[in-house]
Amino acid sequence: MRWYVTKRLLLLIPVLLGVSILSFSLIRLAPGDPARTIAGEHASPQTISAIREKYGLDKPFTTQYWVWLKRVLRGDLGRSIVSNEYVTREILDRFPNTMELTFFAMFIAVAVGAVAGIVSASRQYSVIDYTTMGVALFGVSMPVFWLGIMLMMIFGVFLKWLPIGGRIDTLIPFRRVTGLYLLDSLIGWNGPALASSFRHLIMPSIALATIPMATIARVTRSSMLEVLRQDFIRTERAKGLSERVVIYKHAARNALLPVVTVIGLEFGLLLAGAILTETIFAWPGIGRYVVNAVRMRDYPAVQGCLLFFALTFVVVNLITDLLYVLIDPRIKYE
Amino acid sequence: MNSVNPGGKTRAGSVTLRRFWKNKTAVFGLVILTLLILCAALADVIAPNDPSPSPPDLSLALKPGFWSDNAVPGMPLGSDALGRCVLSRILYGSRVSLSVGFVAVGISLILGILLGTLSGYFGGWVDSTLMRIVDIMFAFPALLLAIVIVAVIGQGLDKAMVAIGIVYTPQMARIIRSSVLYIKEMEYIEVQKAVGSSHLRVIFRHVLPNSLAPVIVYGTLMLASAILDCAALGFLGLGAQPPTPEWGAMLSKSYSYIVSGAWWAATFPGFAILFSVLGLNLLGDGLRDILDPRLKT
Repeated sequence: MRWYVTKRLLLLIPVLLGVSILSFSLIRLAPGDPARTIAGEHASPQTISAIREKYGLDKPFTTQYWVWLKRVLRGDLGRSIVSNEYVTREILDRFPNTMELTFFAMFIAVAVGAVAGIVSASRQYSVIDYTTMGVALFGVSMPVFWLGIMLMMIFGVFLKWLPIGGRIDTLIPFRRVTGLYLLDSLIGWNGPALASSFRHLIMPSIALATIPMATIARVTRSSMLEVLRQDFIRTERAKGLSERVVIYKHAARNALLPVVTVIGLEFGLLLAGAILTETIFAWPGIGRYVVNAVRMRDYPAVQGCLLFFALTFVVVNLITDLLYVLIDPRIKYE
Repeated sequence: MNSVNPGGKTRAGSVTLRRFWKNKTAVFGLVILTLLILCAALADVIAPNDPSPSPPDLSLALKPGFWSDNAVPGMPLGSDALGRCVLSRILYGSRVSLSVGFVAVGISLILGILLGTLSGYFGGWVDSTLMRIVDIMFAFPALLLAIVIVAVIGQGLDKAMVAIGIVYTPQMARIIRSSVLYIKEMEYIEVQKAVGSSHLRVIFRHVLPNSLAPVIVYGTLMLASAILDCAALGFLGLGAQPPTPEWGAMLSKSYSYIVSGAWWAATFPGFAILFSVLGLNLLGDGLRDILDPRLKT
């Protein structure tokens, strides 16, 4: 196992190196003088020449890349053109918000999706099966941003059940510890903050969860159907185990294995979905940050987000792969 | 002689066609796609109003549709904040979405065929280099990569098409590569090589035509995602620019008026996106079951 983990970590190096080269060169491909690109449109000539000096922009491409990579490895992604703050700092400030949203959405997606898939498969061709799969089909085709708007319209504007945007009611005193608001509210034993941050979390995470939920339901169903056809299920039924034990205890466990891989892949889509959901619900995460950065042509921020998103995605996929090995002992590490 | 081959191809074709008509999912998807194409082609004829009159008639702004007594005659789905007919803009919007989708998938198809065949057919270091690049591109969520490409090459509908096309290329390249790998090992390809056919001839006459099935299946599914991603870029203000009637942009320009009660301008374009994407997904799923049972999930 240790050898397998080491190998997987080593295999990450070329991918991450490639990711860094891509992030670096994409921004250099922007038309015009890269020093001006980094400094922003309204920078003074002095600033521009200072930046040219600092980033070694008069040097050859490969030298520039090394200079840049060394700074990135030290955690320095440069300063934002818009706020003049360190990009690393700005991303890390917003990262917990995005994490809370995506994890909560993933939790909903897995809980609802897996159950729907299992129930569907155990009653194949029933009304429940057709309804669930019909809904799932709509789910995978759903424009997330539109669903967000519709939820906001119905539950926020017309029924006024839930807040239409933001992270927490600003009037509630709140102390930030980890940046995960639910957790922070629990740490501070702050009831109103917990309720408020939870209410703010509901709509964005449901909007975000829809597509992965539908995908997970579909994958679980087909994997479950495959398992239910196997001999050991027939044996269990033959020896008189109740249908509930057969389905939920034995079949479901085996059927959920491929779902783990899907969760890893869906996580990347969830990050992309967060870009849209955060924009609609004014959620202060990195998704909204990257959209604003693109609109303002804040290249250092765009570059930083690109690296950060890719890193998160790669790490999540690594974790899912490792989990997969842990869950299914039949898979060999080699 | 007659019994040997003539019509062999048609017979296989008609079997596929018969299986297609039996597949309800695929037929339903095709119906939606046909409707969409009809809307796009006939927008000039069936749209009740000019989608973007200039100058806009602001006295018609945010009027409700047929469900209200306050409706403007000739605007069954109401009007947006600039007094433009929502229905007409949705109809014209199908033109935008379809063309963006087809161009984007076309770009990824051309690049994907190039990279996928090079990789699969020649193998070796070409293959490993190209596939590592593909791996790297897979490390980014597609929409994020598209957004960043737009940030670099600039905003606008044409740029959005290119961005989406580039982002979908790795997926297409992988699909083509794997079917090329499979076909390349077939004996008739060996024969072609043995009789001295050039690489280009083998690739274009024999390998590529035989990898058509997965390309059609995934091309259809990609068309669905391309329409969705194009709308997303439009929604973020990075795709179609005003006054182009693009569904995503229509949503983003209208959703702030929901608070004042004007829900229609932000609601109906979303249905258009949802049903187009749904139709193409259904068609793609159906085609997958028909053309390539091995791909069935």
